Amino acid sequence: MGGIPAQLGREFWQALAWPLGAAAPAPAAPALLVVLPALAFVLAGLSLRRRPGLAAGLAIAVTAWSLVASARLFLTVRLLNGELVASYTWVAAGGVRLEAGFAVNPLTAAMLLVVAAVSLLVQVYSTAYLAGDPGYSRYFAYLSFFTAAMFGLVLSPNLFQLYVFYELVGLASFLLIGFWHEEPGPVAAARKAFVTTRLGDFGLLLGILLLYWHARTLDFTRLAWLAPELDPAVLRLVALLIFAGAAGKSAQFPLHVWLPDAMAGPTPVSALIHAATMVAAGVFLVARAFPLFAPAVAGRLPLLVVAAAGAVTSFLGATAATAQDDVKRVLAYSTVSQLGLMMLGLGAQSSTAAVFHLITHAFFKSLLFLGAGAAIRRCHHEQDIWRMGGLARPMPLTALAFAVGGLSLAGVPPLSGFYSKDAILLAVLEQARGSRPHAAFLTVGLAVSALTAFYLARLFFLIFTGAPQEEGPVSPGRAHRPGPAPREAAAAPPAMTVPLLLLAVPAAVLGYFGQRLLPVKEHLNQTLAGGTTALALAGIGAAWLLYGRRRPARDPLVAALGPVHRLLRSGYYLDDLYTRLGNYLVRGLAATLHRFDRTAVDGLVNGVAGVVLLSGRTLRRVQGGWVQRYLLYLVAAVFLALAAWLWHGLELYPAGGMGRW
Amino acid sequence: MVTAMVFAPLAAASLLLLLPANRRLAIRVVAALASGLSLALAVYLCFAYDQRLGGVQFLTRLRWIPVLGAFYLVGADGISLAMVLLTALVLFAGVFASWRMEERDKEFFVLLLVLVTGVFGVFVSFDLLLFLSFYELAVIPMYLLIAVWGSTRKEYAAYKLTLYLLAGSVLLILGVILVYFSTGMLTFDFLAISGLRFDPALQRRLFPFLFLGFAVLVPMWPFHTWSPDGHAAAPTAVSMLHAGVLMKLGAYGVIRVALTLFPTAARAWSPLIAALCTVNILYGAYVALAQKDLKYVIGYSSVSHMGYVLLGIASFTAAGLTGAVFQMFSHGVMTGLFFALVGHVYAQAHTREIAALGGLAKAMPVAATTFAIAALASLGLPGLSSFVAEVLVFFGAFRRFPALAVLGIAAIVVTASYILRTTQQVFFGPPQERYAGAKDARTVDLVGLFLLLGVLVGFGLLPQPLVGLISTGVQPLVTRMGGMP
Repeated sequence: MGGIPAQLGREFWQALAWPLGAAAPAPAAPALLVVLPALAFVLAGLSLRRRPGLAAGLAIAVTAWSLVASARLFLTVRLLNGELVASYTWVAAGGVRLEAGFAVNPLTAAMLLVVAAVSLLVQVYSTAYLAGDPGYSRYFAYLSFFTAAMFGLVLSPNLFQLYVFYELVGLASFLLIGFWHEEPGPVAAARKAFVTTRLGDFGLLLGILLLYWHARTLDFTRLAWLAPELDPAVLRLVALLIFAGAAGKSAQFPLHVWLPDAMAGPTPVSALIHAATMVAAGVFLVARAFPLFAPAVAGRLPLLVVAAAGAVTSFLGATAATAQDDVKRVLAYSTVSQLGLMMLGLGAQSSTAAVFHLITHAFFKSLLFLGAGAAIRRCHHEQDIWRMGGLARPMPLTALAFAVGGLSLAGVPPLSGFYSKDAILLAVLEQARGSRPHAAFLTVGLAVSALTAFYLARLFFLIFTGAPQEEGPVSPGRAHRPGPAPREAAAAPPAMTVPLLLLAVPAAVLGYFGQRLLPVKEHLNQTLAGGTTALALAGIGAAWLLYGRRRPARDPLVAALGPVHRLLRSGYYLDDLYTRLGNYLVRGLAATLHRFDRTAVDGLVNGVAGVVLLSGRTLRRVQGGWVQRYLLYLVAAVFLALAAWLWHGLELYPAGGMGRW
Repeated sequence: MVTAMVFAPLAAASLLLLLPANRRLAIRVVAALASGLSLALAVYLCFAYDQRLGGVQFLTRLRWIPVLGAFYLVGADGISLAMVLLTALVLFAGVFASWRMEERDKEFFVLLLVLVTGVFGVFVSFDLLLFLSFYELAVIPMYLLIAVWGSTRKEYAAYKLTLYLLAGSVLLILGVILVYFSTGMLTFDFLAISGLRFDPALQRRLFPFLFLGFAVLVPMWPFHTWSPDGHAAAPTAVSMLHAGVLMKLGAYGVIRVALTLFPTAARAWSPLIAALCTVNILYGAYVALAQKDLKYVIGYSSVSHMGYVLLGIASFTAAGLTGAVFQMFSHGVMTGLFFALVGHVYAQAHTREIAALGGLAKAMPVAATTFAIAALASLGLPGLSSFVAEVLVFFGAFRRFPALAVLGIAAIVVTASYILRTTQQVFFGPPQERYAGAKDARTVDLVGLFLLLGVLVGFGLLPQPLVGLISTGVQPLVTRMGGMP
């Protein structure tokens, strides 16, 4: 049998075998990156509910395939030094044509590799972390869904498809934050994340609509060509709206409040989605749409806004991170801060530096989260760093990996974070010549460097050094979460330590090699590099003095900073502010409108209805009672009236005849 | 073919009248077979329709009341077919959702089938008198179905609904009669009438009658309050048909009659219509946020979602109109799903008060998952058909009314907020002791649920077949209106 199904089948198998060494070119391979995890999601969700092992195995096998395929795609586009593109019409109605397809270029291929690699390691890690959870298959189904959506996002050849998958990764995030859906905390956090990021997506959608009717295309390649010919005023607005979308997903001020709460999800999810990949989607979005942000086509404003939002966010996140007691909240604010730094890089016109930092950050931040997860699990889901401690002895590998990740993020040479962060600061420095705002941004960037080193060292000292703390009672809400079996209490199981060690490798060396592999043009500026290194060491030193030398009973910063500490701890009271605003504006307005609907709009109608009902009752008494009959009379009356009209009309217009019949 | 599809439910209803009321399985089987037959015919028609040819196909013309120039004239174009398919789907699912109906079930199914014949008839009539007759045939059984089998203030809701709709009907009848005499042809043949070009001054006077008469049914703000009350009071299958299909009669009428006959007047009125339906969208979403009864949440969400339909229509663009019809289809399927599930929850938990529910996902995982997917459709998640519909409406509306479109699109945030809150409060959270015995959806329920779910996902992933079908119906209309692509 020939025909389309057979053709599709042949292409499917060719594409499936392609990364394993088949020589024939397989144009469908990038599409399979989305299709295979989606199939794994459906299968795991539907038929494998009672066979959790199989669900996990399927997810991991698919992701492993994706990793190989991504690697091969990466090499192919590097070899071609070009782009693999395919685009098909998805919906066409009137003047609107929406396309779907894929585009593989060095930027997207690098993203694919990062997503596949981190996904794979997180999935392997999760087999141990989630072992014994009743929702095990559901968890892996959601993870597969996320992988599919994230690949779809990265591969998007146009802004519309990117928006589609932007929403879908948002759903994956929602499902996984609220994975433990019987606990109220995660459920509320999931909703907050979805609604807050949707506020940004709303902006992105408006940007897409405006851009489409102006440029008549949403294709990135075509837009890059067209951009210089478009109206700069429109493009400025479009760029700002796109940035709103990026700010929602990448947790930029003022839309960052959902990310610390998102830590209510399982820790591997925090590592994968809320540290390494999805939250970086906003940065990726701006980098992908970068031609629309160019000062030559959109004016200086958009990139200045991007840089300012990045600087504010990164400072706000770094300062708030120093005052958190929950290990995951420290890391979450750290992510907020680092995403701000990436945005600052974009704002300084260096998308290369921003993407470079995005990639290194994906590795060391997921490493930090997975390391923290191992510690949390060993402490029976205790996340308060003041009730952890001395864990370096029972879990030395975890401590080692955590230290590598921390030093890398702190920017200590020659680890990865050092290179990528310096690339960003260097870009800002270049802009700072002759631009006062950028000079301020540079100062912020330097301050953030010191603060980053400080809070990471604080975290390490309190969790891994000092005397072990007494274990308190497990908080009741988390009692059902799977913990370590007694026999493995000594150290984390290999399924957890191996991914940690594998992540430590890129966290350590990717910066050095990446500098050569990726087209990072910037050279190291020795003064800048020396300065940031000194700042990082100063931050670590300060943390050692406060927390490392001798473990204090409580945080000395609480007394020293007083109200400022409370301000930082609450994340600048923004959560409270938003909650109140939400209550007054949204709920209050809703309640008012509801009353208005019941009284004003409906009252008018009920008044009329009351009169009719009264006459209805009277009639009923006369007629002896059937509502149906009353209604029948009503209808009959209407038709009688109709007949009368017609009769009347016929007499009025006798000459009109009977039409054509 | 069209005739067979329209009258299959009526034939089944007559057959049911002959069956004794205690043959309960037989009653259900007859109802299911008739609705299944209608569904099969609707699907067949969608495939048989020649999209390249376009226009009204499958025409049957019989003399009905020659003295008035009224015909039995039925046929279908792309818009009719989308609506017919929707009706058949919701009816089929609705029969299965009413499988366990206890009280006076024979009469219930008879009325349900009569109502659906009316609905089918409206969508395929190309004669104005026939159109109105079918229209009344759809509205009247609704009164009985709610007043007899309903819940919460059922008499009040039934009266309110019927009065509103009859008030609308009076306007329609007046409007149609005025059209009848103003053509000078004395015919109700819509194909002939729509070939005329009405004088703009006349259009401006006639348009409000026909538009308002239909807009009440959409329901357009501020004539919407009958609909949440009606939804809440109606029994499950009736809620499904009511929100899923009946409200579409209004929007269909606006497109088919008001817009087709009076394009110039419609264009003049469209800014006001766009403004009112933006109120619909935002107002409905906000009021839904304040509701405590699960059915009222869905009811007000319908008010909000139907606002998108009117917004698409008012945009006067091909994309917007196609989106509007797609939204009618997709909203119908989605609401059908919602009400089927709310009915199931109510049957198991004996309450619809959101605050009293919670943690039901443990006892009914399948129902919870299905509800969650319907909720995601409601908030316009990509991959589900509502997204396609809303996006097309947004594209169209943004082109013509950017400011209003921005307000309308802003509702996606509010919608996400109330729909997630509702879903989470009902199904998530700690499982409650008293609902431990609640049963999940069973095989009979699953037939309808999975059918609707499949449509929602299927057209969400691959919308073009339906979009193309609808476009063939929309395109001539846009040309006629001189609208934008």
